[in-house]
Amino acid sequence: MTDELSDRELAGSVVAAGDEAAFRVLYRRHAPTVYRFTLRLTGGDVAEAEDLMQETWLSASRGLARFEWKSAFRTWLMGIALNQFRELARKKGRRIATVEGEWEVPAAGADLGHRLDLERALQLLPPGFRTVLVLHDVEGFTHREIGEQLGITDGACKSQLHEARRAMRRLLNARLETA
Amino acid sequence: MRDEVELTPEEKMAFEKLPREASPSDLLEERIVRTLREDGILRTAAGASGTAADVARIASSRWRRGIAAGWGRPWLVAAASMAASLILFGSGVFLGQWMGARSAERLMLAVREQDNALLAQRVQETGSAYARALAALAALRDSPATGARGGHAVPAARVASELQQGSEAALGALYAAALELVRLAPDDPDVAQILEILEDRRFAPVNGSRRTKTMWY
Repeated sequence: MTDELSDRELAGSVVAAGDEAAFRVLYRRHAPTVYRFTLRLTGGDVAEAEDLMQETWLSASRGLARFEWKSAFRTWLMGIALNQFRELARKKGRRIATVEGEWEVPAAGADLGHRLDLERALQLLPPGFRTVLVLHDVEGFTHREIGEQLGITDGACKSQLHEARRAMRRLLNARLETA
Repeated sequence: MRDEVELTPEEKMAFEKLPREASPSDLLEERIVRTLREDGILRTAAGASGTAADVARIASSRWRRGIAAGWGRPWLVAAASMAASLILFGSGVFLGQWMGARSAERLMLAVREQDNALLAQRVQETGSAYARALAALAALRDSPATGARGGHAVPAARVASELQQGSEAALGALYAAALELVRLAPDDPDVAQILEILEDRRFAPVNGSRRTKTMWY
């Protein structure tokens, strides 16, 4: 019976009674997925991913009463995480919603002499490329959904994905040699 | 606009194989919970750890929220205390009936008057009546004359049944009181612990069935 409590029931307990235990159950159910997502968005920066996690859960908790349950709770959380990521990027003067220009593969890195794996390649991509790749190819969002989330057109999203995939291939095929 | 670069089957497979989860640190969870507490979104709950036991407790407490709508109003405190004494009334124990009815009557008056000071006093009186009823119940159990009442013999099985009912009613009343106390003092870890102990006992299955048989009026 215990595992049958739905996200909605747990969220209801949090909203109605500030139930900490319910919140913890809800958090532990979704935190691993959201945390992996934030880690990818931030290029593997643990401190930044944790800040993003915190802001995501705080924002979600404050807005829980207004959530209409028209989408899955996890999808809603991911949307909040993405918004928070954009906000974080804006504060730090980074651009993630605009199309990245030409990008050169870094000449050297930590994986010297080894073929890069996909995870590492994602980390090395510039934020704009990484974001759209993570959203489209990892998380399965459509161009329209990504466009709505990032405030760009479908066409811009497709163009960004095109360049992002090319950049990713160059990274995956490159052998980083010691400079 | 350029056409999309299609992923090769190998690339698609590589994306699919990427891990979907990562474990955030426990410290992060505590940091988030602490902030939410400070914001007043979460209320401190002693022992709230998000374990399966907690989920069980949440499930068992859903009914509690139903009856607890509108907490904080003084008359509800009195009403709940009155309910505790009414349990004694319904327990089938003579002494409990008498004392419970008497204190319930006074509490009814207090509810009407909605006087906080009076309510506090009535709660105290009810608590005293409750403790006295329990003492009398214990004395009844220990008395060699258990089988006689008012000069008439009472079957031992009936006495045992009444004593059992009395015990259950006492536990139920204590549980109801603990619920009230948690609402009155949500940050008191001792009170929360008492409630948890009582919940464990109250909802623990005995011989495949629920322990509690208390009737609420």
